[in-house]
Amino acid sequence: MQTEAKSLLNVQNLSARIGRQVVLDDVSFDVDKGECVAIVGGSGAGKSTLLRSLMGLRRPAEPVGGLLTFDGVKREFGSPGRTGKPKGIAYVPQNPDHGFDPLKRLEWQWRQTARAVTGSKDFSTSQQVLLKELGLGSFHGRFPHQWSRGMQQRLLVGMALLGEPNLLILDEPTSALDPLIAAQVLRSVMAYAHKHDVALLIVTHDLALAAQHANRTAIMTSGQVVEFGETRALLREPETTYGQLLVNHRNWNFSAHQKATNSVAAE
Amino acid sequence: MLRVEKLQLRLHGKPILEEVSFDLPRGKTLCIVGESGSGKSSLLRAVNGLMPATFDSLTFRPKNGRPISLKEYWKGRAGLPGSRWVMQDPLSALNPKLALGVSIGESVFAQKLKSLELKAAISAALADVELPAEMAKRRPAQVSMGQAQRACLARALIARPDLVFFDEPLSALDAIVQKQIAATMRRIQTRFDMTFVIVTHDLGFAAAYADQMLVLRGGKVEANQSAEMFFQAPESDYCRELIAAARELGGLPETVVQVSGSKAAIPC
Repeated sequence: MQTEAKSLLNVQNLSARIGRQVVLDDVSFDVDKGECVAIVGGSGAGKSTLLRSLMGLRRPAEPVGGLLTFDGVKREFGSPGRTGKPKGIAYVPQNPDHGFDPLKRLEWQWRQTARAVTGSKDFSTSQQVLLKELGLGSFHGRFPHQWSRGMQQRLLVGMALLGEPNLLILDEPTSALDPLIAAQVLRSVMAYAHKHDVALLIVTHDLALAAQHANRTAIMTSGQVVEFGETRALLREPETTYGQLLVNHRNWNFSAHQKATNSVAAE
Repeated sequence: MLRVEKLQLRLHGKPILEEVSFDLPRGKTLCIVGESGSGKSSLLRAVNGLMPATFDSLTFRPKNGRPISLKEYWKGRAGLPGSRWVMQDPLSALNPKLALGVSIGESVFAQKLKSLELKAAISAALADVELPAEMAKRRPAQVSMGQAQRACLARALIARPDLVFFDEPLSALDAIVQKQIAATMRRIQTRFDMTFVIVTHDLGFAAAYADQMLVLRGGKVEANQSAEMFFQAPESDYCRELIAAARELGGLPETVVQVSGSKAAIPC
């Protein structure tokens, strides 16, 4: 089957609960090889829970059902025996403060990551090439706070890419950075992903950002994926009311749409 | 209403702010934009007398009053008379142990209102920021981020300030709530004729809200223009880069309509 060969990540009917509260309800979506998919939703929509489930984390929300197919390998979300992250998925946290140990030198942290991923502590040429591609030089014995946040974030991306993943998950890639640096980081990540055919999954509350970069977009609200499809089609004709709300409010020029909804309401 | 000339700030021999000047008329909004570490927050603090800055002149003209020279005013105290702050993270700005109504009421503690008057004032302030009156009894942990930020707005508003300082008021909120709260801010600003100084990262918001722009980079002023001019013909290359970056991230559309405070701008 052709679709099987193209598809990299496929999540079917994932549900998760915290105690009795349902936080993810029958979530399905998929990511093709080399594709960029965005998951958009407000706070409390279940975006982070979805990410944690993908990473194989079972707390605080416990997945109770669903099927994950990654790179041809299937696993049940619900079965408690298998935990841990599927090989080939890498994750970049939202905030560099959460990604680094502030008391350890960057070079040490990089080498530890490299050792965990590749088994050797050597600072190989391929690693140097990777850092160069992200616009980073040598470490000079620096600690995290001695680098700018943009550089820290790019180094986190680099660490995620050390294991040569097929899928890179970016959690709110722009919210902790100012626009100049955020654009820079995204540009380097996009260039790398394009060159090495890495799929991207961007999780964000900002539909405008998704509109700019993603091939396909899933809109989440209260634990459900309410819409999933081509970003362009979705922006043109959102099907659900929440989708319309998000599309109308993605930019700061919302009064034009507002007049339209207002006249509808008046009728 | 607030006029700053050649403000300088040095800490530990390092220049933090260099020759910052601006002049903000009553009822207008100044947006301060710049990357992290560019001195935005230091500028807010310096203007409030919380940092040992030097300046050629710094005058503040309160409503129905003579201009005050702040050098005199700051002997033994800080801040600007009749101004209030709204901070970035409502959950750390509000006392987690106090009901929202108590936090809001503390803002007018000095007016020594009778308890009934105070209650009425709190309800009115909550109504102004479109929160139901029963929110007064809730604690910060029992409301959403958007509601908590509205409560912070009410806490500033209840004192009928002339001037409100905002430090990244929307960045902790999601996209839809941001726009709703911006519309509320606009509405109360026009209704009570307040002047806003807003520090922000979000150029899209600045384009939709600001009258004046002040761009800082490494403590120096990169642009001090009207918002309209800034987005059409920015003063420096750095500003052009900044605008291009915001466009690249999708946060700044080609055409921006100013936030209106009319009810129509609120969808739900």
